[in-house]
Amino acid sequence: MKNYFLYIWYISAKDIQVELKKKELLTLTTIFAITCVVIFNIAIDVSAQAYIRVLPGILWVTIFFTAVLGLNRFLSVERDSGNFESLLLLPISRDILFLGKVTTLFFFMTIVEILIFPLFSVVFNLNIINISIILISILATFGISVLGIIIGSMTSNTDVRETLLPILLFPLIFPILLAAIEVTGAVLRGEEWAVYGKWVQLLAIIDIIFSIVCSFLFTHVMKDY
Amino acid sequence: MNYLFAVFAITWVVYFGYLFVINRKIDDVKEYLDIEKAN
Amino acid sequence: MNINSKYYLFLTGIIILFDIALITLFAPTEIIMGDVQKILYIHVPNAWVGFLFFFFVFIASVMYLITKDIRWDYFGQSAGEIGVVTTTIMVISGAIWAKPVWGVWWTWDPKLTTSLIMWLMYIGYLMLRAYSSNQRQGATYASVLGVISFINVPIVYMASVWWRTVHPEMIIGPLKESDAGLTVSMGFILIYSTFAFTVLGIFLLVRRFQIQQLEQLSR
Repeated sequence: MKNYFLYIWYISAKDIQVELKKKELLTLTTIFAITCVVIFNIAIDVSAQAYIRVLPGILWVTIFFTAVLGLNRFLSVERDSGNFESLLLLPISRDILFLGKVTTLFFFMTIVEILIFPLFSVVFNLNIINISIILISILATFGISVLGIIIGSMTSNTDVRETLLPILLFPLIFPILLAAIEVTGAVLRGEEWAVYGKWVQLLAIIDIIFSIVCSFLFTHVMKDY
Repeated sequence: MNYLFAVFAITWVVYFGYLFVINRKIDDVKEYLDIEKAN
Repeated sequence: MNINSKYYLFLTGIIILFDIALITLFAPTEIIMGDVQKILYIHVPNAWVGFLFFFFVFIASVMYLITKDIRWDYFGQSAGEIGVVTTTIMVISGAIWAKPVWGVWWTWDPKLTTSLIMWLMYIGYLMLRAYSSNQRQGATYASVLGVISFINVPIVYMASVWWRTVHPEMIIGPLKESDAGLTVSMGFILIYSTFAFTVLGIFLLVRRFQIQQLEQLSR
């Protein structure tokens, strides 16, 4: 059992090590997220009083698009460098491989979020560094990583490659985005856990269900690689 | 009343459209088989 | 059972024609909404068939992954296509119904939101198969997506309900009103319409499936 998580960590750590040296993916995705913030601010023209209504949506849509960008880049590098093939040669079960990739993506997205959240707080003049928001962010990021890796592994193999990913991914992470947006909004408005706690519980359940189901399904995806 | 008619119209156009499109595929296959037979 | 025999086409046609007759001639006209309320008899049955066929896609996906028999993939694709047709009609009829009743074409009420997301998932399911490099890969990928998408449906519905409870800006929608105010004869026509559209759906499904098999044979 301990080996299970250890192997997942090994797979993930290798990717993280490589990336921390080059910092290519992290730089690209962070700059993209900043660009999104600027674009949304130009597009949605509201007074400072209304910031509280738009921040949750803008935050999570930004994270969604950044995740798609990061996923596409991450998976195309994996494919072109032959990384997936060499990992498939290892005598480990496919769900460990899957969770390893998920951990890597989760780690990258968390770093980007750590950089972006203070930016949002500054631009919108609202404090979003809060324990509930951090909790929901962890859960949401994990959910997006799980679904993103399995769907992305399939789309990066198709004829149209990256363009299909957001189309397929959005309906699947719709509940995750909704939960994250609702909780962020509720916390900013000063509501109590009793009001928004159910969204956190829903997200936790979603994460558990999808990580189990997708781990099983990943075996089938890899068979046709 | 117009709205109801619009819904009926759209419904049957869509269903018949789909039926028409998939029946065309039978014709394609028939064509292909005829060519095969001729060879 | 040769689906191409005109017999089944006529049978289905008669059932549907009888349905249209019931709706237009025999259904009682509602006092408040008038004839527009009869859109219910198209909207609800198509919603039911859409959901049923999405379930078929789920079954086909699971069975394909277990048995690897390509016929399950044909079944899934056929069910998926007809599901898109049906759900499209549901969404459009819902919008046309909403306009005279509420004044807006669309509202984010749970049932409509869930059906829109379901529609998107269906389309994605068909697209993934279409854009895959070969039949086998398409079948596997689509099956994986089919399983994930179906599991997502109840989650989306629950989330939408909570969303609308928090932001009840819109009225709860004609579906609720219609469920509440059904007379016996309305109920009967509704059930018959559901039956009629299910028959139509199954007929199209079997036909599409056989056409699929023919197509693949000719490859």
